[in-house]
Amino acid sequence: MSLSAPVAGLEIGTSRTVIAIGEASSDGNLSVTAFGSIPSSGVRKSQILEMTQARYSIESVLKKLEEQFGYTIGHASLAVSGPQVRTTSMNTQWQLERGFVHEDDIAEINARAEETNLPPERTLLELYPIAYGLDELGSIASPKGLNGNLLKLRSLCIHGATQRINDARAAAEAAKLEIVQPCFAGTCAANAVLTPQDRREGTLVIDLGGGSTTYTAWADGHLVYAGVLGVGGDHVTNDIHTAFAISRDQSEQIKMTSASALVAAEDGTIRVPVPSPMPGFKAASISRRALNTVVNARMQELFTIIRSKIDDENLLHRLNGGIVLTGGGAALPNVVQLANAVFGCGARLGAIVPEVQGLDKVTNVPPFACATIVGLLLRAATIESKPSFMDSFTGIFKGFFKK
Amino acid sequence: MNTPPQSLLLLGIGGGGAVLVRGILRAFGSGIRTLILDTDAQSGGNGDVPFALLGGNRLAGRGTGGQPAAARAAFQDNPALLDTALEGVRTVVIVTALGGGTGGGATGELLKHLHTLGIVTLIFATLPFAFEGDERRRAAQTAAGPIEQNADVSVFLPLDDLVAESGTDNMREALAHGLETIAAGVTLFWRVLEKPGYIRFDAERLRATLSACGRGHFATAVAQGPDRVQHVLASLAANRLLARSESSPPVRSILVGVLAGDDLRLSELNMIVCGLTAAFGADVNIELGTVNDEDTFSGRLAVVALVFEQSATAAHPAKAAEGHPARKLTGEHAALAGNGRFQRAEKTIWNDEDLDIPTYLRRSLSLDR
Repeated sequence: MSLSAPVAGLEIGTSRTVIAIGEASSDGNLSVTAFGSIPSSGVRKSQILEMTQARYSIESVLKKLEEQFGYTIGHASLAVSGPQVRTTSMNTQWQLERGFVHEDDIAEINARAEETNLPPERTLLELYPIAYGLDELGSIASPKGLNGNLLKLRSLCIHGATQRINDARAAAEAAKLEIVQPCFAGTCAANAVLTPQDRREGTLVIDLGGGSTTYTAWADGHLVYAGVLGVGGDHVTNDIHTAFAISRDQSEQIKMTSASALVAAEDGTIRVPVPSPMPGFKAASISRRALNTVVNARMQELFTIIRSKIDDENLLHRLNGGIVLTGGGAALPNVVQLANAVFGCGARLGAIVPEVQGLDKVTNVPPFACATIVGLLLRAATIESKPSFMDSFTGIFKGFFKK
Repeated sequence: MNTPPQSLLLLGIGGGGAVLVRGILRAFGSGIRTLILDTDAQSGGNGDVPFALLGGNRLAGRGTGGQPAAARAAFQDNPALLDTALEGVRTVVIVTALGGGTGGGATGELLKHLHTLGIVTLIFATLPFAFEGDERRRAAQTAAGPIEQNADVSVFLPLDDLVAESGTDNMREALAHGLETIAAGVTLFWRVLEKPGYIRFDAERLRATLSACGRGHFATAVAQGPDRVQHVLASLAANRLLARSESSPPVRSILVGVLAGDDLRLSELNMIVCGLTAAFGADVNIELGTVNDEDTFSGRLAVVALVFEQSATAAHPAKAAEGHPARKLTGEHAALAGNGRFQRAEKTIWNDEDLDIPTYLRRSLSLDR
């Protein structure tokens, strides 16, 4: 088993800036060999507001990787998230000359879809075919060999704000790190936790980030819907801060140690101590019921909004594989149960796919919270090493990623 | 991790800013990274403070003659003038006097530039005396708009209110007191950062606290003796700079610096926090930092308070509504909608609701206390 050159991924999140390094082997596996992260500052809703801070964060993580793992890297792929990411459904047509669908016709219509002209302020991140159509027939997974005149392709275009992506690129380049490929964080997270079977059965992946929440729905083996909502764990912290007039640091600490996504009957009798700024101050506490009411209201709203979007697309009945939660927000106690209740189907925490090894040797962060960066490494390995590596993650749509 | 250079800069703009910077240096002593920016070469003095001449080609170091437009144009000629001096700087505290040419004209432009560099800005700007006439008052008001628009924190200090606190009619003494008040306020930031006490207020916490807070008010009080806390609180309560009316929006947060010698007692800190909570409401968020400096404050207790109202957020109400006309927010919601945390990020709207506002508030959920 030979290893290819290391690949690196950068995620400038609202909570943390993360860089990971991995090495792909010829058997299609990926070994995570380095992981560095520090708390971010100057980032809101996954968007950089303070360039200098972002640069310092990246420099610090690079330094950490060098000191701790002996890596010096010059380029990386970038995970792009935040409400600036949008999805657009696109339709492409191709007139058949042979009277049936030849594989060249499929290649041609795919190529035409990739030539989508977005306005300059938008940058194409990824383009996924959803379904082919042939004359009056729709939703054909593989049209090759069928008779007809007009081949159609419906695809999902994921694009981001060029300026926001350039901000991240500039921050990285100021830290002497070249961005080779911006990728959508939502599909990265799904790459890390979905098996081909999950994609076939139909699964919704919700990545609960610090500044935003991404979601991708997969059915019949491929991506059918995606989106980003500019609400994340930062909002939960801010809600606690506002409700109880305590500092953000205290609110974050309480969220991490004492909050729950569900309100339990016994919460009414329990007080949660508020960390004191120093000994000697009068002890303070807040009602656990009140705390969990605040947190539950936010999380339930978040899931309900995503549920309504899935309902609008008439996708829920196709999600037989259930809901998979990833991201730091998935660490909130009872969040799986809440998702279960809102969506009415089985929810679980994301487990990293077996093709990825070594993550636990380089970080203590729970695997589900590393999904985006791990998926980004998988994507980077796909782009930088060999095309066949993509097969295990993108099934029949290999070669369709925007290079 | 790389060690950044000293990340706070005290910047005086215009002749008034130069006077304030030198006053602060006298109050604090050495160790502050400073810079004076003026169109008048005389503000450079004898080189005691780093100086940058603005508009050298356009104005030849002779000042603007009280014309803000000249200073604005001079800055626009060379917006990167200070970039080298700003290397490693992450927070800039600006002092200036409005009503004249350079402070009024260049400050807003500079703040815009600093914002693009990702530098957090806090500005203390004095407003002219009433007796200086309508023209200077109008010039100051015109300058205040872009300043408030572009600064993370802006504190406007009417000179009439500043000298009124001096308790003297003597002009020299009154002006000296006004200068001392500003110097005390600005000095706080360096003292709490350079000589932190048991409650540390480091540069990052300061940045996080100040970022996009909007318009603030500030005041200082000093007392000694066994009842020094009561005297300090009473002095703050009576201070015109913190005067509030029924129409004033509720106070959302207070940045408090407590400076004292080795005799500072825990019970005194507790009394200060309780006193401020009683004065400004139970919901107010108090960020506290202490300085224990026996040499400077032996036997004395100094408190400096920087107060932010909920509506400071709404210093830019038009911004909050931009592009999201569907839901009109009022009262507490409107105040919280731009509470600083998400003010500079794209708003999240769903079904005409602003999701940056806490859900429990939008749903009017009652909370056990």
